[in-house]
Amino acid sequence: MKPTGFDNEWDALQKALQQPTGKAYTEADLRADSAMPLQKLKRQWNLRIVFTVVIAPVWLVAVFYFHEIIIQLLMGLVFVANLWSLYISLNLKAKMQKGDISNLPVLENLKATHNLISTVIKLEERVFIFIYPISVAAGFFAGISISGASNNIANSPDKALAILIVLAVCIAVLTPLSHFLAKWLNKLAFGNFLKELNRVIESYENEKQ
Amino acid sequence: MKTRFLEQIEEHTGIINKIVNLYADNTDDRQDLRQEILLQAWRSYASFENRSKFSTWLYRVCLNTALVFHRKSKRMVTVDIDNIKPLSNNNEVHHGAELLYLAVKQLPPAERSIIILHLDGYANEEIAEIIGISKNNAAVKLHRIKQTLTDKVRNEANRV
Repeated sequence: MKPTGFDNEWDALQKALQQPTGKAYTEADLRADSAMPLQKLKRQWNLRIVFTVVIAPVWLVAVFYFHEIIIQLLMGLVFVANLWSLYISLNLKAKMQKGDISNLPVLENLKATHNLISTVIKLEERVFIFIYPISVAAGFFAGISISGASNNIANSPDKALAILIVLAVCIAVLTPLSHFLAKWLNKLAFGNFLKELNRVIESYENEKQ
Repeated sequence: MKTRFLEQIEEHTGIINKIVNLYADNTDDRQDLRQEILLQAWRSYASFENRSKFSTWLYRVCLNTALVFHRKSKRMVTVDIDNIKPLSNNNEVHHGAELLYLAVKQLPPAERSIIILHLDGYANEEIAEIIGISKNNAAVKLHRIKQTLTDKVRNEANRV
């Protein structure tokens, strides 16, 4: 039976294509790091979790280190924001680890990969838009406190107003800047990949192609 | 378990080489994709329950890895006709096979996966199951891909 019309050619081609592309696999090869985008993202989030676990207690210590109530409040907020981001990170990590998707049917695997990466990136961008302004304000007031200028400012309403205006400008500039920087970095890392993945998904789904 | 897994992989290494050769364009990418397929297969091996043949399961893992694999060049698998290296150094491969190789490599990744499975003797139903599309969709696609492939082989024959 010649179902394709290319059987003879394919048989000959098979012999060439099946030639070894590298040396025989060993057990050591099973321990290598994966370069799949989802695995890379998992490693990135693992690092983030470790970083948050190490940094979060520092904010808590800072609450007791500073004596100004506004700084204590902001440091407390940053600490809570860190716990929140840790909770989200752990949830996402669990989601990313749920089952191995590489033995799913191809289309299902492509969709799952696309969904997971898009979800993680979007969530990261949304969560951090709340965390940036709190961090900026906390860092700003901590800087003032450490420099010893806080008493001076507290006794002068004009200076306090000027400081608040500078803080508002810093937040207004740094928050969108950090947000768009994170967005740009994500686009750089995964933008083309997601587009190409989407193209392959559409190609499988489109019955007219 | 590792030894058994590596033995089974060794028995079916032809499938891996075939996918690697048809989805990667240069030596570095081939090495990386080959290594990645092994890792993905090993990660999924625990969930392989002998419900399907090992070769069918491995095909699925190979295709999943090849289609999602992030190459060093940061591009997904696409083929530029001028960058394709013909198999002309291999005397065993006759002219028609070389034309077929060039034509298959020019197909978009999704179409390539379907025709590879078909040329390897998988029935439409099995292709639909591996890819995760309906049997009808697989049949329609296959019909169109075969037409495209025939045209491409003809064009290549005229070009060479």
